[in-house]
Amino acid sequence: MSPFSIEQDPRPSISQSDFGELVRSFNEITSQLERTHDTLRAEVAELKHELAEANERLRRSRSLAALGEMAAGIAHEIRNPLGAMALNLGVLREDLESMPDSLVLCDRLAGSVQGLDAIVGDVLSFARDTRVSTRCCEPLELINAALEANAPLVDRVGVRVEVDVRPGLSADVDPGPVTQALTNVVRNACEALETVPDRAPVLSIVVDRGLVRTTTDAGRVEHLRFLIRDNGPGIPDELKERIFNPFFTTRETGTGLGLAIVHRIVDAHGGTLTIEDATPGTAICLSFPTAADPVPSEHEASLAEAVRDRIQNHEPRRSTP
Amino acid sequence: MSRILVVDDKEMMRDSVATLLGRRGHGVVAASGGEQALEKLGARRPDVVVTDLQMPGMNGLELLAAIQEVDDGIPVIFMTAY
Repeated sequence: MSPFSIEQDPRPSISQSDFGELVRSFNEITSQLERTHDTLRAEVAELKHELAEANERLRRSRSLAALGEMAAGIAHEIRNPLGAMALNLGVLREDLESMPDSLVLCDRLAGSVQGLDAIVGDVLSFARDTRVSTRCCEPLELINAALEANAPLVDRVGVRVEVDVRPGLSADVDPGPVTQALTNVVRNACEALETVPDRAPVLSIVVDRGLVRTTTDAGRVEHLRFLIRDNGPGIPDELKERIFNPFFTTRETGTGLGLAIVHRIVDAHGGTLTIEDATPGTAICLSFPTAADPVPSEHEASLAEAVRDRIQNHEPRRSTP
Repeated sequence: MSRILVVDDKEMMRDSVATLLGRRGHGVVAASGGEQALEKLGARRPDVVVTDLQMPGMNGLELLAAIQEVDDGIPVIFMTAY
């Protein structure tokens, strides 16, 4: 804003110094207002961003749930005949005991049936009705179970694993599904690390607490967060939107259901799954609501209310003359 | 060898299980649902019942309850693709 200027006026004049004082005060108040305006602008931008993210997560969760229902129906229809195929193959094998060439064919068939059954199993664990029964768990135990499940892969890739659980934290989760979710994320990280031969592979898992916006119609709530970070190649920006889609994969083997399953498990807990900034590498954050001493939300429901709240509680500092 | 009652609404599964057990030398009777199973069970008591869990009409659990009403000494084995 331009400095205050005033034309000469015949009415009672103010002294030069008073006038100078007035202009200074005016300019100070103006710049104070500008700063406040900027702060509010930044606040609004941040809230908008958070709300957009929460909306996007919600949209994703809904479409995953719908897909899950459809996939469950198909998977059951497939699993039954697969069971019959495996049974009949067993019988056929007995008949062909003396014919090694035919047995090779049988084994091939059996291998295919097993492969299909594994895919169907993945589909079902993605589609399964995800009601959870939570109990108080040690975060470190969940992590260790996930690392244990990936032990051969971790060893093969030679990953250095760093685990940091902030003291005094417990997780109110269903340990089975959450261990599976962590296992999937750790496996993804290790497989990504395998593709980067030129740096020492590091996997870091941090457990802490933080405020997370879970829905669009409530404030931030405190969550327990598992931040799993690798120094692998990272996820290209153009793929970030698609990696949560079921059956999306960049690998030659794999069903592309790993992260979709993680998403469903996190959703079932009322938690969130996000990709965080990490360079180099990838950071995936799983958050779960904490049952104990929930922190009252910091912000009001809607963007408008959040802004109103911000304005009402904003106390501009008095400008000093 | 045993007398086994195999219950499944899906023909392919029913026949597969029946074939496998039959070739092991067991006497197999097959039924396509709970009602039919109870009829066959009434006609002659099997040593064991192998049944699907999810079936239209009477499901496996309901069949178990009905069998136990008649004779609670018959072991019942469930099969499921779940």
